[in-house]
Amino acid sequence: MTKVEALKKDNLFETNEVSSKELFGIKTDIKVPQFVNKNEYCPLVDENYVFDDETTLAILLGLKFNKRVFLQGLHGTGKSSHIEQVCARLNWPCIRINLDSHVSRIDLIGKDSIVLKDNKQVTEFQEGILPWAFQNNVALVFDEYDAGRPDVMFVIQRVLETDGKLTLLDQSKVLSPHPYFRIFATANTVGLGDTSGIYHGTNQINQGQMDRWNIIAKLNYLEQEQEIEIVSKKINSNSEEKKLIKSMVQMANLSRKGFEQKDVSIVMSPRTIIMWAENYKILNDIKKSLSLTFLNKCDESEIDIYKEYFQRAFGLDI
Amino acid sequence: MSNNNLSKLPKQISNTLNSVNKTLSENKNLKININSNIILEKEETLNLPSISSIFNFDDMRGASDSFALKKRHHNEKILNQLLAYNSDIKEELIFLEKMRYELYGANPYIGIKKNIQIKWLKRLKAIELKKQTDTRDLLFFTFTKFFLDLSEGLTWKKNNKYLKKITNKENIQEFHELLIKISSDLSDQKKFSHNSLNILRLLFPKNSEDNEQQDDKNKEEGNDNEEVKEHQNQEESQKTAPEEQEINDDVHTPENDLDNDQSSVQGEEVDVEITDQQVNENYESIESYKNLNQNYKAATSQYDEIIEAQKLCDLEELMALRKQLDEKCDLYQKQITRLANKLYRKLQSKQNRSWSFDLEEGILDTSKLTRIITNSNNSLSYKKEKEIKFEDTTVTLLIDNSGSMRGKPIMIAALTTDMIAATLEKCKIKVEILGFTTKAWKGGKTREHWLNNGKLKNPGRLNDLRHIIYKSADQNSKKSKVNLGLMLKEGLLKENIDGEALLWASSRLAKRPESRKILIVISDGAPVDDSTLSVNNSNYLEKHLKSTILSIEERSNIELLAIGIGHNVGQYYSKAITIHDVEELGGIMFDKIETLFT
Repeated sequence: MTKVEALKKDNLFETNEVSSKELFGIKTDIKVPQFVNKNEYCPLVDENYVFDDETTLAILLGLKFNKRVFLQGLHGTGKSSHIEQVCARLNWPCIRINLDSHVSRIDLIGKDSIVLKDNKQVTEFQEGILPWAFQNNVALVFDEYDAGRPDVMFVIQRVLETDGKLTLLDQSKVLSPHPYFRIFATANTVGLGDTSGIYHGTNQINQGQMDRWNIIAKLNYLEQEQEIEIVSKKINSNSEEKKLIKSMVQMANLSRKGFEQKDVSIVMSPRTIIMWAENYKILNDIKKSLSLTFLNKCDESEIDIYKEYFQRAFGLDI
Repeated sequence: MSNNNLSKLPKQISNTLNSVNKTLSENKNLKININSNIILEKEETLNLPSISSIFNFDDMRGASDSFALKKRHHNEKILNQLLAYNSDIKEELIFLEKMRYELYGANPYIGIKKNIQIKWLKRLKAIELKKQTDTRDLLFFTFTKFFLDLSEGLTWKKNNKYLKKITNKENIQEFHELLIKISSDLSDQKKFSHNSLNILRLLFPKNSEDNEQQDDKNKEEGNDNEEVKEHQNQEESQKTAPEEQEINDDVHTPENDLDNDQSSVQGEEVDVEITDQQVNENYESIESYKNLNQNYKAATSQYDEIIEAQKLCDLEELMALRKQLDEKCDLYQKQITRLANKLYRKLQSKQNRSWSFDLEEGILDTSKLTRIITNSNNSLSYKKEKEIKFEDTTVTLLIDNSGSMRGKPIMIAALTTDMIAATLEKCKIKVEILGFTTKAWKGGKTREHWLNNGKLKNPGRLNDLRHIIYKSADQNSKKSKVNLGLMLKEGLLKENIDGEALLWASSRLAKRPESRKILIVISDGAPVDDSTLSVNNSNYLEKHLKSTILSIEERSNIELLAIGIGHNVGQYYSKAITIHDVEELGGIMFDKIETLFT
């Protein structure tokens, strides 16, 4: 009896086949496995979450066929939350790791640490997150993948191969991956370094490493209608507020086009709009909430342009 | 309209509006100039009058939005196809098409709609105020009113009073039907123009049937051959587009022509490249230049000076001059701050912060503490953030301080270099700012010296050099900021002897420990010194400049780049840029520096 079969017996990893169309409201209909039981690592379901067709499909392919999925997108477009919400609905445990430049090899692999055993101090090898996740039904998400240190990235390289085994040198152990272990990564760049000048601290990713990702999906800004829907659902807006949200999204879209044309250097991300809408709900003042959420962090010399965008979208002068 | 817009300068407004315009139209090439007396749409440039009592900021927004929407939603070809066979109602057709793209484009955006509506209301008023109105005015009025109502979501009923006014009993039914049709075809220019033609034909019937047949044919087939004609028509048709101010756009005022000339010159930032042939010639002549270099000499160098800026002028005056500089170039400074911030971000994003681990000293690496406990033989491990050595570079900016630079050029050069120094300093790149001129106009003490010593033949350079250090590479740019005010001092700017200045700057640069050395020369003319040239060959200084440049380019590790203001420096330097308007200097310099470092 293999390990999985044994586990299935315990009902722990029992899965149902569910339809992606029904569960996520996307166009493509594929059958995806859903765990019957939740555990503590399953993210919470956000009922109002709106799924983007392509991104969701990429994630589902990754989960179903054990593919490594790399999500690239500008900031605030909901890359990580997409993975989380897909996992949440499939009752799939999901763990996010921020790959900042201080994450080191031993954090990932594990280290010797001191524990008390029978009132005696003994050192014991504590597994890092990687070996643990590797042996469990976990979707491991590396956030800010392009901020990781090159030397650390090579640790991940080994587990990127679908049937690759993980060798723990410190323990002389070879681990096999759990059949439901999955890896995802999110990043602002596609690993070619920052070309836009707005993502300070990102590195180029070794192409040998990039090559190991089976699916590279891009999640940049959404369609206007979709974005309006997301924001309105997020803040439970009434019809009056919905009109304002439309204008907000229009202004954000103007700022994005302006950014492409290099007239402004900060874009309004979907996250900014949600924060703006939330702040509006608190302050009930559209101009003030914009200043507090966004304008105050803009370059002084560009504020005039944002103000004009605001005028175009709202018909009001700021 | 907010008040703060009134106080802004035209350039600033046009920059802002232009940014919005480019965004709305999704066309990067649009330009806005605020300098004409009428609204003039010309291909990708929009000329606007400046703000006045009859043309306020809202009008400006309306005109600029309308232009952007035109670029976004209007197809000139379709219009011209229509016009080719309906030249009698050309203006009316253009007018309706304009209404279409304005309303269609503005509809989704509350603010743009508002701006366009203000524009329309103003037109209605203007027509109402007219003493004599003809059918065309009535038509413009009716349709403006119709579209205005449409933009508010109202469609006219059959008994609408304006509708009654423009039609008679026989065609009111048909007219109304067509109106409904065109209001539903806003997104489709072809359908719209077809129906709008029908509507206009109700009011202005065509004279001969012959034409009509042709007309239909044209509509059905859309022959390719006609495109040639269309292009010819294009410009004309744009000019005759009616404007709310009822100004005839056909007028070619001298001012307009001048503006157009200017803008075309601005577009031609020519990177001058030396052709192969020239290079070969240069190589051949290197030897002769070398000789010439040896021939070049100064009558005496005892009166030359290399001086720091603060020693030429007392601090109080320097501060006053610097203040003057900031005040006069307030607007330019804002523009350049934006460029500087952009450059800073670009450079910053190129820097990778990283740590080195397993060191003998530094910050304790806590993640490895367990090592010592598990095995006390292991030593403590430390980490350190790696110091960012950005490129390890010195940039020298050598500015021509000759008399011809006086006024705007020198101010802009001063501000730009100041800003570049401050920006690069933040990225740990050293910047040196140097200037060169002479102490006197007519040879000064050197010439006296020569006269007193018997007027020897071929005396060489015959003037007292003055080389000014505004900012040395190790000086903090905050401290040197005030020094740049010196450039504004009356009577400082005199002759320019480029060759020796270049030698001086490059020798300073050569002594720097940084491995990469960049020398950027800003100049506005060939080397001139009347005193020297009166007793030597007329190309004496020029030859020396050329040989100096060659020796720097050939034999040193200094990267030499020249920017000529209104003067083709490509004939001397192999890497050269010539600009025609000094205001471009900031953009060019930041651009170049960005490419040098990225």
